[in-house]
Amino acid sequence: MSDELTPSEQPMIEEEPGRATIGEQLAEVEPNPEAEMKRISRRSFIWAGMATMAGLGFIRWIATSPETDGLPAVLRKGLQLNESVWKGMYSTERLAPTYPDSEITPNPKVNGIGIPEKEISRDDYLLVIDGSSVAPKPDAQVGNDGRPALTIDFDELQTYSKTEMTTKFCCVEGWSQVIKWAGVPLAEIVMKYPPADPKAEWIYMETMEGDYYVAIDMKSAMHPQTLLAFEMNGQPLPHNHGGPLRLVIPSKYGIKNIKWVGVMRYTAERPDDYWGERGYDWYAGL
Amino acid sequence: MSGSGEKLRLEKKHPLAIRWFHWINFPVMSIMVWSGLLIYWATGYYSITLGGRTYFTFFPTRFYEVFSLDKRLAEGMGWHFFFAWIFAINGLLYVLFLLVSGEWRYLFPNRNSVKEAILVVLHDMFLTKKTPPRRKFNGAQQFAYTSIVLLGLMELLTGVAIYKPMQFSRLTGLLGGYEFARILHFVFMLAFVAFFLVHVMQVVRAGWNNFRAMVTGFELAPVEETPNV
Repeated sequence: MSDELTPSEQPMIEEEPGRATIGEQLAEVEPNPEAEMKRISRRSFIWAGMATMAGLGFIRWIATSPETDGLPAVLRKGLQLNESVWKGMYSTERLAPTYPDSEITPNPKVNGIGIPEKEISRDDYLLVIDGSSVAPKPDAQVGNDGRPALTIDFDELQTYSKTEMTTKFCCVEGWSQVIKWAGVPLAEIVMKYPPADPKAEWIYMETMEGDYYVAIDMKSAMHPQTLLAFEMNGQPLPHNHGGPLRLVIPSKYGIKNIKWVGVMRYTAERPDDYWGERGYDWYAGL
Repeated sequence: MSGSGEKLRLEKKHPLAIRWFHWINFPVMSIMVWSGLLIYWATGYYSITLGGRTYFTFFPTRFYEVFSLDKRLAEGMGWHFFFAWIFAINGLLYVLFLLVSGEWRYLFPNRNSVKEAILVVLHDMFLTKKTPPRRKFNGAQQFAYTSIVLLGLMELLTGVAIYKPMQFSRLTGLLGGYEFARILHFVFMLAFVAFFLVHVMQVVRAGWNNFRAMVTGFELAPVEETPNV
């Protein structure tokens, strides 16, 4: 398809405005247009054939590239390319649209993985912070690694700026709903308990029983609308919606809005991510 | 096409660049529709409902089975957000080429296009014996091909609006909000597919000489006729 008439094989003919078309000029120099057409066609269709093969080869190359975390490597590279584009554009000053209460979706859908069998009361709840430069109190509970853990309880949560917002929750599956949340900005907690490693670019979070986990990039974590939420539509956050405490991050798809947050950990390396490991985008930004 | 003693000449029809844009777009658009349906499947709930009665659900289960479109959301997103770049770049280069080369003059409708388009439609439906003028693009084609460029642009814009509804929240708002922009994205896709089907039918009807021109760039035309405008 791609061959123009190459100068070596064709009489030198230029298309000029106001002059006869190439066709007419060719008709003068080429006494047999049908034979000429055949010649052009042969070359063009050879090109077309090669281009088709190249195209099919390209698609095959993508489809059969070895899987990286559940996605052909080339497509995974594509997602990473997109991530760098959108990360470059990202600004914590750009806010997700907010909605009037009248637009709140009644009976919000319940979705997700890792629901703890028993309800957790606010009094029993603790959020463990790993990798902070702030030392845990000497009388702190012992963490999984046998050392005292840095934790936040609900009383402490109340000391941060309670923030309300009515935002849209968008699921990768395509549905969305408007929900009114109340909680505290994750940024305030990060400021109070900064990462020990200045190169920490990620926050890893997992549910209290560890079944579900997400990676959040630091810029998105510091967004003013990224909340650790404990109220939903004016009520204490229900157990099946992540109570007592969940992450609400309207700059990301629902999959990043982890419920029953038990641990948050600062890391310099990109941490594990439940759906990221299963073919989805690690960034998942909106 | 070899007329009986009719004198023929070669006529340049489609520039090389346009042929490339056209043929690159075909597989890319196909992948976009296919991967879009993989994504849509995850919450496929659009239907045509009037007065409480549902006339058609997008899509019947059978449709997903035949094309094995179900349970492939992650894969669909991977393909969609990769080929969207190729679709966008190819499309923008095409429009740029149209504008710079002056080819847009053949493509965009002009003041005769409406009358001519009506004639073409009547002719194609066998309602009139009058044949439409033999030109690169007749009025109906001008409307169809200009609409499809606009449709492509709208697919791009609605796509961006639902891909990054926070980064481009103003665009999303202009397009009627996240849910509405998503419906538009879907409806425009249906329109694109409908265009494709009609386009293929018309190309088959127009015959080999016309199709070949989209590959070679040249068409055999009777010498008597005035060359294209």
